[in-house]
Amino acid sequence: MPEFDSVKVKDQLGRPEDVGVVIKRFTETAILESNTVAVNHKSIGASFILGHQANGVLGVTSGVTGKQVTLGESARVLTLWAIASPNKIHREHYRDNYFKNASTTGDWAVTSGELGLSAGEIAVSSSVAYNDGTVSKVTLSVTPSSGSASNLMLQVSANGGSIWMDVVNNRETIVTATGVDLRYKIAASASVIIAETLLTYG
Amino acid sequence: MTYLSVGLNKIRDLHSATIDKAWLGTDGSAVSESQTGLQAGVTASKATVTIVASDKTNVVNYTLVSTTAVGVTVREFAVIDDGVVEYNRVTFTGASHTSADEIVVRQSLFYRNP
Repeated sequence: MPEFDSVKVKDQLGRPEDVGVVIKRFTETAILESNTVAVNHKSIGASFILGHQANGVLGVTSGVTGKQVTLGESARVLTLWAIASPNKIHREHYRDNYFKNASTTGDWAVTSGELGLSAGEIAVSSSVAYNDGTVSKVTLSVTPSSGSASNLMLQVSANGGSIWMDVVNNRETIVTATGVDLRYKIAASASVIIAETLLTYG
Repeated sequence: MTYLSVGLNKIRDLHSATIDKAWLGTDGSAVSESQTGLQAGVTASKATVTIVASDKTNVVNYTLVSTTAVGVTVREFAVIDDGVVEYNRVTFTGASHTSADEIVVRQSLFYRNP
């Protein structure tokens, strides 16, 4: 390119020669959720445990249960002690059945990442907060990926399912029957697929 | 822009590769982001965890056996890369640990777009 042409081009660009090209960088954020913690006691029962002061001898009847200590798992009982969520927000993404109650009739994590409910079906959680302070207020937030939240009836129980109370999606509700065992229930009047459920409590 | 599921699952795997243990502590005070770990960790409670991976999820399973850290009342839990970093801290109602039982803790970690 002749020199006078290159000067003309620079003039048309209208910028000084010492300005470099700025590459715009797009940032992308990924979120790591530290979710609900479940703490259980598991009794050792009559199981043989190497080095244990009472259950460390096979065959004796002086184990912690007073029963004969045997090789392998024996008379063990798992007891829920506490369920706590960071910032008291339980997040359910329907990746597994850990918080699914057996009375659920909908498809809880049958497809990973989904709670599928047809008309007349319900989803009931097991305890999602337990011994994490007395629950006196809740906000249940349900996000359908298909269908409408208006086809859902939402309820919570703070006393282990003895008393259920209706709640409105995304609205804080004062719990009248307080307790330390929080659960939720979702009933559908039409087909809805839910990708995420948040339950904030305090 | 959005992270694809395969990208989030790769992040999940990279993270789980740097989690080797978890432990318990006795302090139940409030959690804040500026903390560097458990406030009163019980060294004897450090134990290897098992991690079960599923789509965009790591589930961390930890057991405090009946022969160690007996007599303490635990109130806090952390997932860690031992000697390197403590990733989180969660508190709960105090659970006393005796020689007659184990304490079994489960926590899920979920990786997602904003």
